[in-house]
Amino acid sequence: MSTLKRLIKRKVVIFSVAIIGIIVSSAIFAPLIAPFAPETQFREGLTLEGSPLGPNSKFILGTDLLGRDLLSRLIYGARTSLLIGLLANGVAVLIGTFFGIIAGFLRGRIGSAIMRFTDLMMAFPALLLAITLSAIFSPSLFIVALVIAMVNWVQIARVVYTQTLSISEKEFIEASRSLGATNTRILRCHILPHLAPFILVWSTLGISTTVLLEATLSYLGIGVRPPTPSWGNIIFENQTYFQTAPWLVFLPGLAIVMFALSFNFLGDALRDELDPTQRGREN
Amino acid sequence: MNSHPFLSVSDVTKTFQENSGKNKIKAVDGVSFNLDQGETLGIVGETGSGKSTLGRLILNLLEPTSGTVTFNSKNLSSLSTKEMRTSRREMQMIFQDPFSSLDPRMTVGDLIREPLDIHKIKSKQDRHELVQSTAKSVGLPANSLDRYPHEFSGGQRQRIAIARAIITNPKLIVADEPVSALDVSIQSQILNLLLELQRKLELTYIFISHDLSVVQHIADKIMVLYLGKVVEFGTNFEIFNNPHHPYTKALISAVPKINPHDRTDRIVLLGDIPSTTSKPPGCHFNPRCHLAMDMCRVVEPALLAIKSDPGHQVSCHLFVDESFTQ
Repeated sequence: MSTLKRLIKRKVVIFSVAIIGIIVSSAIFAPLIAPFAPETQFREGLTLEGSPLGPNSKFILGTDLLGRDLLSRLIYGARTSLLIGLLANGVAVLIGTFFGIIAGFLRGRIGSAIMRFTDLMMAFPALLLAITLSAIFSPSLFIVALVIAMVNWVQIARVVYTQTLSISEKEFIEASRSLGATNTRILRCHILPHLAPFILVWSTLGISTTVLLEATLSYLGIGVRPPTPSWGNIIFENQTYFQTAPWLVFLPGLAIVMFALSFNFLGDALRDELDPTQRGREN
Repeated sequence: MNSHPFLSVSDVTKTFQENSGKNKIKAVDGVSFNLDQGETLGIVGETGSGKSTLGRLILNLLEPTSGTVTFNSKNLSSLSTKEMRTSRREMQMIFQDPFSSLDPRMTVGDLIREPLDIHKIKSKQDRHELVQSTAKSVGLPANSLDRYPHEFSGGQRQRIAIARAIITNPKLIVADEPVSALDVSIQSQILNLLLELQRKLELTYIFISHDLSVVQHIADKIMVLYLGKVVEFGTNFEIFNNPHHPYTKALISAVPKINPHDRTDRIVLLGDIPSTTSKPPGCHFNPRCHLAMDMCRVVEPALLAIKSDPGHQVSCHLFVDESFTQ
């Protein structure tokens, strides 16, 4: 309770929560908020030469290269990006943390087997792996999320592994063992609380890379299928108009940045508040 | 000595393998002793003498390579993992550095309560009461339970560690250099606290230290270790007033005297303690011993009891004539 109170006192937390709140509610209430359907192409949405319109009274943020309302596409795109960002990243964090802790705590043969496997995954080009995986499974939003998770868990596993190693060498772990604590208790009460800040920061950092990887996959035609909008594929679809209509690239880009940044800020604040030696030091 | 000593360590040896697997390090080499309940054994030695390893072997935190530790008529190495875990409530450890032996993310109350949680002692409310009374008995202020270890000084933190160690009502406490990380002014407070708790709770201490004056203050029996082997073992009085081994004499001559005119000739040891991987042949102490004879460089002396005082054992060729040959 008091942690929550202290969090609310930070301005940056209020800012981040507000941004995340806006994005989440627009994803949930997209049909109610969006002025148009995201796939509808408007005849009056393009100039006579066929180029996209700038912001005007009907299309508040202008239209894209096919004459679709950008604002509506951004609002619906929040659904895809949020799902990918949270689901794919969440799964990656779970898998990575699990294997990282196992490898770091047990060490020995199991530990080195897991770590050599992550080396293998890292040596393999992530994009190639993603392309192969999505070629095997027919693309859908969940498959894309899973594919991204399969690629991204490796980094988390490495970080968690090294941290677990260094924490298990600490004297308070031996002290706890000398009291008669079981491995489960040591993991739950002493190792996990110390890993939490690293996992938090890495998962917030992961959100931005995940959203960008989804954009890349969408661009290659193996991610989210058009005409379903995602922030990533809005950028890629419109990149040819970058010079004449920069807002088409800038606005979805801004959405990704704000989304990722808010989670980063929130993760940072949470990490500081969870660490009793750092608590209350706002920076 | 009765037939069932409270704690009996017999011929305990611990060998570590170096990473490459080629070099074997004998950290503790054939140590034996018996201890009765309520006694304090002081283990002294330089860095690398194996005293901390011995402490961990006694608590079975390390598995001995050979030899047995019998505590309360239980052979510790024959216990299952689960049985060992349950026995841990009777034997606790206090670590050297209270800055690293307390989890910085737990409150002092949680830290002191941890042993009770682990062994599921008492109900939740009773635990809280016991934590409060234990904190009080080690001299922690009443408001400290909700605070975190980093808010305390070294001495206070060691009090937290002591509270953790005594809350399960143990019989044996191994204290691994519990005061060497503390200021001298705080050292005596902690030592007196340990002595007071020993009287109240009938504790048996294994007190590991490199500081002889600290050991003199607290120990009943003293064991001097050099490169993993016992060089001398005896009562506190015997070791300080009638030391036999040249190494013990050198250590005692290095203890600062309060009266400057009381200065005895200090025996200055040359060189450092040799590496545990390449121990000198014969008596391990011979390269630094000012009384070394030819024999010392070849034959390893055995630990033998002295005729005039059977409780006093020494491992030195100089005293073979006055000792029992067993």
